[in-house]
Amino acid sequence: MSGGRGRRALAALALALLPGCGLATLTHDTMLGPVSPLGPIHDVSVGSDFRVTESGPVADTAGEPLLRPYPADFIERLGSPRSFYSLAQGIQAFIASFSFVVQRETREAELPVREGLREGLDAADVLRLLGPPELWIRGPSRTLMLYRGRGRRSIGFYVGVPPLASVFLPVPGLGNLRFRYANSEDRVEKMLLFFGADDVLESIALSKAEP
Amino acid sequence: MTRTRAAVALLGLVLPTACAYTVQRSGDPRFLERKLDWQAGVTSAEDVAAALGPPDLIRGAPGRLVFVYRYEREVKASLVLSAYLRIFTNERQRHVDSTLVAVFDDADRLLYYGASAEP
Repeated sequence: MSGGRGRRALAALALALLPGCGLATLTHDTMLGPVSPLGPIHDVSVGSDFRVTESGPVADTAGEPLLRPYPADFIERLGSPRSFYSLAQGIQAFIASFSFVVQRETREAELPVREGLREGLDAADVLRLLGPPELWIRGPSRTLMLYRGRGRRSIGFYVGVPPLASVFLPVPGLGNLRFRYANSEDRVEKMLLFFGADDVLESIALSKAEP
Repeated sequence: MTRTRAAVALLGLVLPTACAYTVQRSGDPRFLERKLDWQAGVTSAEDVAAALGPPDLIRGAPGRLVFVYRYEREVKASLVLSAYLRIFTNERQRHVDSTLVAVFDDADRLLYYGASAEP
């Protein structure tokens, strides 16, 4: 009797999970919503173009079936994140999302949108596309335009005895027992455009995307 | 042996420690990591920008173009032992400030360059 009941429960659970992670994660997001320590997980479980950014894992759900049993790019995801850097960023974002001893701050270093920018454009087209540069140097044989975007990334954690707890615990100097770690980096994304004497864009130099 | 452990444990309780480790970085250290084998009169400003990315600072003057790359790293570490009062404090700070300067002529050919040695 007990075994039969167990089998029925197992079957019900299998039926519930049969549609795959889509139903489970959609239920999670709908029922628990913003109070869940995991945060919204449905998009990354069924969406496509999965990637790990500094804000954590993201994916696009536009046009995707919401109850998809597994993501369309499942095989590609097995190879993601494509680098240890992305993985570290994702882990940091995950830990910082619920930990009360970790502080994380990220300000993106964003350059102007570069869509349509290519060699052969003239300076007027480039100015129309990107707006005014931060630095513009004109010479007899060439012109340089420098665009910059500034950002900052920091992570730190602090572990110590809370002030009130040290009052009630009779251990000398217990309030001083603490450890603090902080790592911060000022990031500058840069783009340097080389124009020839006829103000035609000849080459583009970009700073690397990731440190 | 047990007494020693107990003494160490007691000492650990009586002398709580405070540690801090802070790292701050700015800039791109690529010019420190790479071997620069540029040649005067041959290497162009575009070659330099392609190898190291755009410079942090550009100065233009008649007949001259100057690229400046900078990288800064500061590490602070501190250890404090205390029992009611601070009885031992050790603070160490290391600041690395590296610079590369490359000067080009009117035709964007390298005239000369110089870089801080990697510490």
